[in-house]
Amino acid sequence: MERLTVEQPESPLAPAAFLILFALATGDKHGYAIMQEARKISDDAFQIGPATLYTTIQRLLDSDRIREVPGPRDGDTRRKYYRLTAAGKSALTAELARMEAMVRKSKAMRLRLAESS
Amino acid sequence: MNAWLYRKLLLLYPQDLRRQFGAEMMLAFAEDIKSMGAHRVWWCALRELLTVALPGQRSNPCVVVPVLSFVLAALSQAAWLWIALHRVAHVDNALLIDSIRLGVLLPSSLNAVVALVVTRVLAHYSITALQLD
Repeated sequence: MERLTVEQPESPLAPAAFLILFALATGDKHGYAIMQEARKISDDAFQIGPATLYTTIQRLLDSDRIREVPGPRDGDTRRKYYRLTAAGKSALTAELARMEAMVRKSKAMRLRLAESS
Repeated sequence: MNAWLYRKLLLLYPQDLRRQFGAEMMLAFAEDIKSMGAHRVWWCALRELLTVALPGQRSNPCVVVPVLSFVLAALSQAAWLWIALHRVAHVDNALLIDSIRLGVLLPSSLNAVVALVVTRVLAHYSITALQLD
């Protein structure tokens, strides 16, 4: 059972934390698969190396936003798999909402700038 | 070779990160080299050394003291070298490189090694004293 959290989700999330949560939104993954997915999501603009990845994973585990889960039986035993928790989902949702609001505001501002020029 | 070097590089990361994720970091690094190529992955690894490893070690005197010692010595030696080279009429590239190597990097590295040894000895004695108490 997933632990409930009462603390407010930290916003804005650090880019690496956001990309890791985003990568895990589509299912459980091991570290390297998270790295690849994060690159794909950011169109290769944000390169997460092993140190950034695991420092952030450590932070996300400590804040209960992700948890370790057993991997597939036929998988490499050296790999650890990670899953998004309820707290992680809520942090990701809050971050996406914040980003959408920013995009809306920037579009409105662009319209206003276009009208004034 | 790449794996061996990266394993050595991991020694500069905080111990708890290394203990918990060291094997996975090695695995991810090796797979990344295969898919992205050594140049790009090493560039990222060196950048992470400055952005992740060193900030993570800021409470570890065995890393902070030698690094500070190296930087301060290099700055002061570089200032002396700059003054000295201004008095020489013609400075060619070979002289400049040798001066930097022998006049800045070598003494600064020796300073850092001495600082590391002193810090480790002091850390050892304070642990011994605590154990005796």
